[in-house]
Parts: sequence; C-alpha cells; structure tokens
Amino acid sequence: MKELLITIGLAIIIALLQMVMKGLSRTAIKPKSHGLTQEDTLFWSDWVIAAGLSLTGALIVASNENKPIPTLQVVGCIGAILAGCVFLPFALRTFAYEENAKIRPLPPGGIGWILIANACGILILSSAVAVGVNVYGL
Amino acid sequence: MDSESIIFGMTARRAVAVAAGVVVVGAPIAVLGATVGIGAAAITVGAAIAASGAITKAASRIAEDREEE
Repeated sequence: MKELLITIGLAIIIALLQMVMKGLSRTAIKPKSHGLTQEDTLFWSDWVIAAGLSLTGALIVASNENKPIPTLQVVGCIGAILAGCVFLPFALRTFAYEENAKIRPLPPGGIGWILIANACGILILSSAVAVGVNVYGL
Repeated sequence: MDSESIIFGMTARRAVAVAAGVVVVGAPIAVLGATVGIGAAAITVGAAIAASGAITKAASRIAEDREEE
C-alpha cells in the first residue's frame, strides 16, 4: 500500500519536473510569459510507458531470482498496459479531440478529458507497481 | 465494420471507443483488486484519481491554451 502511494507521489513530482523543463526549454507564447500549452499537461503516455518498464523490470527480477509470479495479475497487467497503448489513444481520438487536434472542453474548467486521460495513465502505472511489489515480496 | 452502422444508438466507431474506454479503466482496477485486495485497491484508485486531478489542474492553470488569433 505504502509503495503504491509513493509511486503516485513520484509520478506527480516527475510530471511537475517535466513541466518545469518544458517551460524552461521554450520561448514564450505572447502575451504569456512562458511557452506551455494545455497539451503539455497530458502525462498519460509517460505513465503507461513507465508501467510497461516497471512490469518488465519486475519480471526480469522474478526470472533471475527464481521467484514465483502471480500469473493472473501479470496477464491482467499486460492487458491493461496493452489497452493503454492501443485502446486509450483510439478512445481519446474519438471522444477527447475535435477538429485540428484540439482537446474538447469538458467540465470541470474545460480540462475534463485531460483529467480522464491522466487518471487512466496513473491507474495503469499503479496496477503495474502493485504487481511488481507482489513479485518483489516487499 | 461499417462506421455508420448503429449499435445501441451509437455508430460502430463510437461503440468500439466506449468499449475501449471500459477496458482501459476496468483492467487496471481489476488487477489492483486482485493484487492488493479490494480495500487497498479502492484507496489506491481514489488516491490516483485525486492525485491526477490535482496535477492536471495545477499544470493546466499554468499552461492555459493560447488564445485563437
């Protein structure tokens, strides 16, 4: 449980650092004082890839140390990561974007779709970490 | 599949996208439930949604979209 909450905290810190680095690397979009747009607040793809890497690492450790793996959970987690890589982009394309790759405004504050996409990403990452914790036997 | 065909009042494309959304949300929740137990999974899901909401809101406030010229 503690590990899962640490993961969520880390994901947020990394997302904030990403924003800072993107902001520092870009020239300003006038009249704003920085070059960030709402598109930069989408972190779901980073978190889905991190989930894939985390699960792969856990499976390598399990294999090296001859540890048993929770087969059903691992298969489910691979399914969740695949869904995040294949189905989530398709669902977002259908529902979350309008013409010219503009995100559709959805309550609250017009950022509803960004929120949904990020929540899906962090859920997939959490499930991969939960399986990893199970494998490591912490 | 004909993208104009109607399934439960939706086009086939929308129906597939809805099913995709259900899988994307349902699969990780099911894995969490099976791995750490229902109670811990519920806390994690709540924390994950609250955390992603907080980061999205904070980041979005900074990054407000450029006004159309």
